[in-house]
Amino acid sequence: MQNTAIQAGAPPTANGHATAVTAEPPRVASRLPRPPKSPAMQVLEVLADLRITVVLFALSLFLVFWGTLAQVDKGVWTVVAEYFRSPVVWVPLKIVFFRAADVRGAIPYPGGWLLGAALLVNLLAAHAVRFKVSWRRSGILVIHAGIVIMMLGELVTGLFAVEGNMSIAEGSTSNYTEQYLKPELAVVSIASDHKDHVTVVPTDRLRRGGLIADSQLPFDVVVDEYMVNSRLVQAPPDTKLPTVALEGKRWIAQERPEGAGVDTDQKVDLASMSVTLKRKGTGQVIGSYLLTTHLLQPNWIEVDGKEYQVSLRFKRTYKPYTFRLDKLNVSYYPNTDKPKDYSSFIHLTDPSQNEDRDVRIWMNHPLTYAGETFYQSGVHREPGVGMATTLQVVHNPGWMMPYLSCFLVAGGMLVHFGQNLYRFLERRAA
Amino acid sequence: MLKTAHWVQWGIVALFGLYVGANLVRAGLGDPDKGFHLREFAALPVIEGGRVKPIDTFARSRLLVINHKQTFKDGDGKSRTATEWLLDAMLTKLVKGGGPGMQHKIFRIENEEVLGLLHLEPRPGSWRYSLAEFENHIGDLQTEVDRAKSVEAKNRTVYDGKVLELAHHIDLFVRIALLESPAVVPTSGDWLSLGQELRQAKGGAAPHPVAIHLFEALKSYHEGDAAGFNEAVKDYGAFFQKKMPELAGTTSLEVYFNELEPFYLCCVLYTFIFVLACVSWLGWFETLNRGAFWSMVLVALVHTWALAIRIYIQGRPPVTNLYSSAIFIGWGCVLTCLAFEYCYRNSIALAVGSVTGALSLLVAHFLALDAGDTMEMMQAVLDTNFWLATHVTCITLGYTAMFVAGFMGVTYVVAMASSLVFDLLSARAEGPAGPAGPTARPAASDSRDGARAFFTRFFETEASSVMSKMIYGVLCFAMFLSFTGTVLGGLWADYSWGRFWGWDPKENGALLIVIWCALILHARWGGMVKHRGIAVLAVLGNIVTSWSWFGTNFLGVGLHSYGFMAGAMFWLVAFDLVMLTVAGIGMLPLAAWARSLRPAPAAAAAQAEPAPVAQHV
Repeated sequence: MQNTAIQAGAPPTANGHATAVTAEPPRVASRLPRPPKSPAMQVLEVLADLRITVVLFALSLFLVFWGTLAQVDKGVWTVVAEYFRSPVVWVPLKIVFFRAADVRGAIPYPGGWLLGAALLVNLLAAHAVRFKVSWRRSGILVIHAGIVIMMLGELVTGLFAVEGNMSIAEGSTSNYTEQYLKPELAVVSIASDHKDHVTVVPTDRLRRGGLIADSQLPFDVVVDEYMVNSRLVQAPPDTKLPTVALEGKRWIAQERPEGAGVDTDQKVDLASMSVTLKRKGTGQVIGSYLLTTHLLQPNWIEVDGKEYQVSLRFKRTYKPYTFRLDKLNVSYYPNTDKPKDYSSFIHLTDPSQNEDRDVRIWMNHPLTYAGETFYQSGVHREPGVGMATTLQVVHNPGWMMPYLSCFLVAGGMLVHFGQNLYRFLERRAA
Repeated sequence: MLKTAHWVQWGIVALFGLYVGANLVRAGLGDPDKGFHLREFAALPVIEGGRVKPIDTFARSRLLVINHKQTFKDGDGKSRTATEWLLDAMLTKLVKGGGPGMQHKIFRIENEEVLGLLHLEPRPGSWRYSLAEFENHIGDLQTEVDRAKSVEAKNRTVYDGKVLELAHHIDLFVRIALLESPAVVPTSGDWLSLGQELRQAKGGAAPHPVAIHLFEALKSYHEGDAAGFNEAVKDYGAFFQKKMPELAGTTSLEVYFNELEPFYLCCVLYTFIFVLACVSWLGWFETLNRGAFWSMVLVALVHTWALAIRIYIQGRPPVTNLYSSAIFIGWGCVLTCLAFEYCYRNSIALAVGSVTGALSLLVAHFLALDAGDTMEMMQAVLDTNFWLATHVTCITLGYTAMFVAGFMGVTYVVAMASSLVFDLLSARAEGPAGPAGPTARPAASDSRDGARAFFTRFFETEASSVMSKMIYGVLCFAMFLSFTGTVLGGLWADYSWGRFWGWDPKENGALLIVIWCALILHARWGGMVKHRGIAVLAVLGNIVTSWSWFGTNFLGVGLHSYGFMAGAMFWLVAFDLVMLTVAGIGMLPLAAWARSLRPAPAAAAAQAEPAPVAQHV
């Protein structure tokens, strides 16, 4: 039965299994002698070894398991970036020991990119070495083609997919999406032509901290502290920390741990940072400020008679179309506060496409428009505004690949295992 | 004429049939003419947890959460039904001094600190207390509850957890006593509780007929007036019969289902089948094996029927939560093993099927303790029958196949180890130079190949290769189902929120199963493992599957968790350790040791065997 699969470069009996009996008849001997192999073929045969496959599977198993355990402390996207979308990951020893022992230190371990690439090479080499079109092997070919597509699909998603959110209060409109994972520093100046001139500093740069000096920025920025997640607490009267004003009180930011991947209520991490702005060149301090994603309003800062809006906000992408939320419907199971369904009734206008129509987006019924898909994600009460809906907006050029892959792999398995089953039943009947 | 063996065989099946039949009849017994028509009352519809259900289900699930049992013991130590408890509980506020509802010892308190807080003496064995016994110290409890609530969930101690648990149980009771739950009066929107209805009536509104009937019934019950109670219940039922005729059939079916407790019944019977299968290896194989097989078919029918009823009542595909996954996995294991047993008739699949069936139903039983009503409503995003039917069913069947393969692996290792033990014993009995060897055992006239010999000369029989083939076959299915199920889950996620794969704990758990299956199958195709290797890997697969099924649920709970989940975590770790041990035993060169015990006859026996596979285990 097992002969239908790809065989290792070495014959099965030669793998040095401890209890293998040497008296095994040399079945492979009849195939020899072969014509001399090219060096390329020899290399391929080494790469195609099934033992490598099994080792890679074992390595992947631990990567995925540790990548799950890591989510007890870290957010899922941090873990994805560290473990699955990276060539090498430093796994803390605490995780290595299944969180059973509190040990310091970390070990390097192959990450998702590396293992995925290795598996891909191993798989392609195996097919290059043993490529043969036959009915018996067709299932395997199709399965592996599907797997390749799936792995490439994850690669395309990892590299090119963009996820954003659009939050609209009932009765208001929106024409941009926000990426909750990417808070950015935005400096807006009103130019003489009454257009906003926006300069942004991305998350990664902010996280690194230190001095940010760039010709596009009207001043130098020193990141004193960056908090991935934070809450606002009332400032003690004698605080030296920069504060923000809200509802007539002064507030400071307090660091909170990043929302963990295993938390049952997945909340957005609200970043804050304290910065010191300095005049370009002279290094003269303009002032220290607390910037936080808790607040929607920017800080107004005057430098040399010119006003700037400075804020830490989620990365925005402006769209050519506008969504207006006309109505929000939330239905509950009877006698509970467990929502049964959310629906957003939206009016969509897009002058560039001459679109002007009503659409409804609700649970499990997304809208696809302009290469993006809009999913009903959640409903919340926006203070002072009323009920608001959150739409998840996704652009993923590789979205089709998993569908194709699923179709191929499931079909291939049906063919392959079906053949096995058929032969098995045939033998039983005989 | 049937031979004795046949009589016994069908006698076994008939015994199982009788037991099942007696239970079916018992569950269907209606109310006695005289006395309270409690059964009729229990079938009346109420709303709780977002679904219309009979009073019976409400009462049972509440009592199950509070008391850990669906019944309770009254002052005389007599077992009484959940409906009787509910009636007493609902009368608490209406009766002076609280009445019997306050006196029933239903609150289970085991924690010594909590007992101390409430000035209660430990009551080993029962650990049940009535509200009347500690109502004077409710204030102290409230202080502790407020404190425990202010502690972040992750940092709570066991005591904090127990305090909150008890407070929750008391709250469930108080809501019933204040007539705030369940919702009984149907309206076009949310149903109203009797308490709400009474308040509206005080405001001058005409009371709803249902409220009047229920109030009458409660009053008559309190006064011991059976005729009055029965009259009120009849009118109560007539109202729904007229206004909502579609409910009546479903609720009385559900009461029957509750009364029968079919999954508990199946769990018990699977255990008996396991015993029969084991005994069949010792002797009288054909008779016991066939008897157990057909009995298992019978029990599987009950199991199937019970699953179907749940699907009908809930209007959902079979798996909607952890509880239903457990009963579905048990069902799948049993059916798979029945198919194998039909092909191979060696009691191996019978043993595996009955053990996995009984174990998974036991797990389900404990899950129900935590959940109360096991037919809960789905979160909005999960509210889709299409994906529940495809993705969830597929994944659960994948778990099923993994467990079948895993437990077959366990059986393989057990057989290997016991083979060694038997050989050790016989070698000692016969002395090292014993000429007869294994042939000296009494002739196994009624045993088929791989049955009785299975546990003695495992490596020379075909059993080893047969089992390995079974494990391989099931793993192929597991691979297919797990992969398809996992990918379907991805497609659902893509369809629902635009992300095919998010690397979250549950997804990763499913992926681990796929990777593990792929590893085993490729190792086998590459000749790295053979019979024994695949069995050991399948045993380790149980760890992967149990992690995917249960383990991921513990991640968010933290180490200082309490109550059910902490207990479940203990059992999960224990299960995994057992599997590791079994795999470890499986990796010992048992076959070589067994052979070394009896070199000459073994070699002769091996040559006589038709299958050479035994040589490279």
